[in-house]
This record gives sequence, C-alpha cells and structure tokens, in this order.
Amino acid sequence: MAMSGVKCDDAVVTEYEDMKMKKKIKFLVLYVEDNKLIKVEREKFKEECPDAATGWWDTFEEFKASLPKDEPRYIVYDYQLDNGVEKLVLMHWNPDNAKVKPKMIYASSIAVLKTKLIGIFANLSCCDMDELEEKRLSAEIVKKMTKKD
Amino acid sequence: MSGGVYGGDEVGAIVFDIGSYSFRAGYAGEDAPKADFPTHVGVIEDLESAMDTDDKSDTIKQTDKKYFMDTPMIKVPRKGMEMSTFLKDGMIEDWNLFEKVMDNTYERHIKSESQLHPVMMSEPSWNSKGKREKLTEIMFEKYNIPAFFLCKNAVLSAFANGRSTGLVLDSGASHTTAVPVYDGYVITQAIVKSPLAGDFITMESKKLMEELNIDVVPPYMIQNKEPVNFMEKPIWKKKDIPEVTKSFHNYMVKDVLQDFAASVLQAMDQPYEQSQAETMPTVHYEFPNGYNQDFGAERFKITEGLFDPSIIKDIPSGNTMLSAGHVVTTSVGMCDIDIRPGLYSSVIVVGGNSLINGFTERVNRDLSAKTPPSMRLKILSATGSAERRFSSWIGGSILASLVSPFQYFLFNKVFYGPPFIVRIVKFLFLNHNKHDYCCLQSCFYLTSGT
Repeated sequence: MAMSGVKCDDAVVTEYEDMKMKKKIKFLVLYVEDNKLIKVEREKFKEECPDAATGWWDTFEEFKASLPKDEPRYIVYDYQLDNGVEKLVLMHWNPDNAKVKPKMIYASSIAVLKTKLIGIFANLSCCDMDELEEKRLSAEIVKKMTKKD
Repeated sequence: MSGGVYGGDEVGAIVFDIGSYSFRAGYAGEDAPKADFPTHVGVIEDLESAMDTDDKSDTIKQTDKKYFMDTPMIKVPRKGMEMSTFLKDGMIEDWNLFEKVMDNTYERHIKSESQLHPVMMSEPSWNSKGKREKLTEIMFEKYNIPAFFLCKNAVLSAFANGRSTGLVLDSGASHTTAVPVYDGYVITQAIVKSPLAGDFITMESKKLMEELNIDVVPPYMIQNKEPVNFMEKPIWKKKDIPEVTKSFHNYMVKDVLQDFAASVLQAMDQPYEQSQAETMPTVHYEFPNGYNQDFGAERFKITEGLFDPSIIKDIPSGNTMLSAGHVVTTSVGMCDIDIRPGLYSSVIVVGGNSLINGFTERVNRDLSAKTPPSMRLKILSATGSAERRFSSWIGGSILASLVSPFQYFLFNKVFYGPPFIVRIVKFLFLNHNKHDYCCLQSCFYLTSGT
C-alpha cells in the first residue's frame, strides 16, 4: 500500500489486465482523483493510432503533446521495440513545474500501482518533455531484457 | 482495517521536524510551519538567580532548573544561563530537555491538547532503533497522542520534490549528508555524512574575523552606537547587563556570524582562485556595533571549504573530510549499480546551508565533472528559501493531510496499549530493522496482517 493511503480503482486493474491480455490498448493515462483514488483518465486503442503498423514515433509525439504540462500523471504504455516485441512500461510523468502537493501525492502513491499492476516490464520517471523520449524508453527496456539473459 | 481507527480526514495532524539549528512545528496541510524556533535552549541551574528575571510566566520551572525557549526568550542576557541542545548528531540525546521543548511547543505554538491530534514526526535517516522506541514511548505515554507516524526526513524531502527515487543532499547546520532514497525507502547503509555545513561556515567566518582583527560584538551588549565611516573604529557604549555565560556569548556571536554568512558569502562557480575572486564585486557589511567594511575575495574563500576541503587551514588529524560533491558520489557509489542512474538523475538539494549564493550551481559543476558520462545528471532544488529550509516539514505536512496515511500506517494506541506494549514494541522494532523498512509502516503490516 502506498504511503499516502491513496488506493487504486478496480477499474484500473481490469483495464490493465485487458491491455495486457488482448493487446488492443496502446496506452492508459491514470490520475489521482480527490487525492484518494487512482483512476483511468483516458485510453488510446492501437487501431486509433495512425501509424500502428509501421512504427509508433508519430503517435508517441502525439501522446507526449497530450499530457498535461503542469500536472503529474501515471501512464501505462505498451511499447513496441524495433523487432516487434511489445513490453508494458509504467511511466511517472512528473513535470517540474507542477505544484508541490500533486507532486507529493503522485510520488508517494506510485508504489500502489507497482503492486497492483502485475507484469509491468520497466519503470520510467520523467520530469520534462526532454526526458520523455523514445530513446530512453527503449534503452530502459533493452537494458532489462539483456540483463535477464 | 483493525478497530480503533479514527477518520484521519477530520483530525488535523501535527507535524514536527527537528533540525540541528531549528525546530519546526505546525498543522498538517499548511504551506509553512506555524513555528520555527531555535533548537537551542537556555538553562539556568540555580533557581535563586533565575528569580532575578522578570518574566516568570513564560518559563517552565522544574525543581532547580529554569528553561528558556524560543527566540525572544533565549536571546536575552541572563546571569548564568547556559545554552544547550537536546540533539547530538541529529538525534535526540537529552530526553528531559526534549520533553521540555515539546511541552513548550504544545503550549505556545500548537495551542491545543496533545491527545487530540495525531503526530507526524521526521527523524534523521540514521536514527537508531533505541531512540525511535524511546520517542514513541514518550509521545504515547506522556503526550497521550492518538496516533504516531515517524518518517525519515530524506524521504519526505524526496516526495516533496515529486520523487520516490533520488539522492537527497541535505546541507544543514551541523552536517551535510547524502541519503539515497529508492522507491520511498532509505538505503541506510549508503548514507554519507560530512561535517562541512553551516556550523563550519560560521567557524570559518569567525576565523576570518580574528585574522582581520574585527571584534564581533553581539547586539545584546550594545547600549547605543554612532554611525562611523568605512573601516573606522566603532563608537558604541556597552550595556549594563548581568554576567553571562560563555556558551550564551558564543551563541550570540554565532548569530551575528550567521547573518554575516547569509548576507555576504557566496560560492564560486568554479574552483577557487585568488586572482579571480579578487575581480568579483565586493559586498558591504555593517556589524551590530557600527563597524563596517567591504568583503571581497574572503567571501568566496570561506565557502570554498565546502567544495574543496584541502584548502581549509588548521584541521586536526589530516584532511579526510568530504566535499559536498564528494558526499554525493561516495553515497551513490555505495548503492547497487542498477539504481545509480536513477539517483544521479534526481539529486535533490535541501537544507538551510544550501541557500548560500551559488551553492547549487557549484554542486552541479562539481558533480558533472565526477559523474560518469553515460549517466544523466539532474539537480533539483526548490527556488524559495522557505521551501528549501522546510522541505521535510512541507513533505510531512502534505503527507499527513492526505487521505489518511495514519489509517494505513498508524501506529496507534490499539497497538500501543499497556498489555501489548513490551511484546509488540520489541517485536515491531526488531522486524522493522531486519527488513530495513523505512519507518513504522512495517509495524502496521505485521500486526494487522494486511
């Protein structure tokens, strides 16, 4: 349980399981409602992504632009490596110019997600747009994969 | 959830954060502490002499000792008043004195009864099991608080900066420490401490004054003064005051030097060089007795000791102290290689001493030179001075005001009842240590079975 006492909505887990098993969702954006409950803010299906077949660079840029600039969020992203392997990544979007209170809430509650969402391959924490980039994401996954071998 | 849980939402928790220089207390959910007063306490041993002073109401009497707390009380010259502190190495050492300070805090600052409010308290990351146990005992048995939550101050600082993983560089009054925090837990074996901090700067300033033959006269000695010209002999009259102790005088001198350090000193953005420091603009400073002078290269030289201990003169037993940058690299080096990038990418700078002009910039420069090129370095620091000085208090304030950490992590009377006290407390603290959990939350897991 997270230190803050924030809980995770069951719908988040269901949605996540769906994402993991059926592989239809590209990403989930999660937020903390009323400092109490982690909920799904929005989801994006892969078929909605214009370039799902060939690559995902465009959609990633689009995804980046869609994040709030001054509020933290959690994101579960189904990342596709160049060789087609898909891995789930839990991202903690934590912009530096967010207020102290939401920063604190999100930072102290990520532990609850880590326990509830089973099968997350890698974690990533990003503090500004420059940090939130594809290269870092793939590097993190590749590092984990090579380590296991 | 076990029985006896109160709704954390309605009850205002009280947050205490004890630093070696000041003690912060206030209600959870507020932006800044209600009270921020010196950790030092004035003690008069003999009641007879204590009676000479006029304001009896503000002091707490105990058999033959009188205690003076809070800025307006301790800065008054009194015969035989010794300055002392209950802390040693950041941890509470003198429990009796600590209780006196707590009594005073509840009475004068919190202004409410202690049994009504749960308490969130920060502790140094290197706090020992025995001290934690003793503190819990005092809070429950003496103050009768409903619930207690102890949290390591580095974790609170990290959370307040939005990180659950990061390296907290805390430069306070008595020491500079680097504490790695990973997923909200402190990696205790990799904590690195160095005595090069605020008090060191004050000592260096004192040495400088001796070298320059400046007599630092604290304000309490001065009856009146006349304006004098630049670097002229001060004209002032001594006040008629009772004979004070050496510790009081030193404390007051330190006070002046701290002001000097805060207004004059600056850190060079690169290693110190006499020729370059001389080209920097000078800063004018007037001492309480009217003496005034410009400070040039000196103001950089003093702070340089923080970053390059080899230039410090007359240190006993060689020079083994660690500079601010070194503290960070040593601490990171002691952590698992897999988490190092995460630590370097969020180095969180907090503490009152880090407010010296140019401190963060210099740490940034020193660290970039030492960080392996493959790692991303990022230094985080709050811009406001209050946020930086009170970072762990603010963190505690937010955390305690959330849904109710106390509901989940409370260590309340249900567990701390007399029949269970010995068994549970011993059991909890043993397990607490074994699993290296960061605070009392583990206790809750173990007893409640969640």
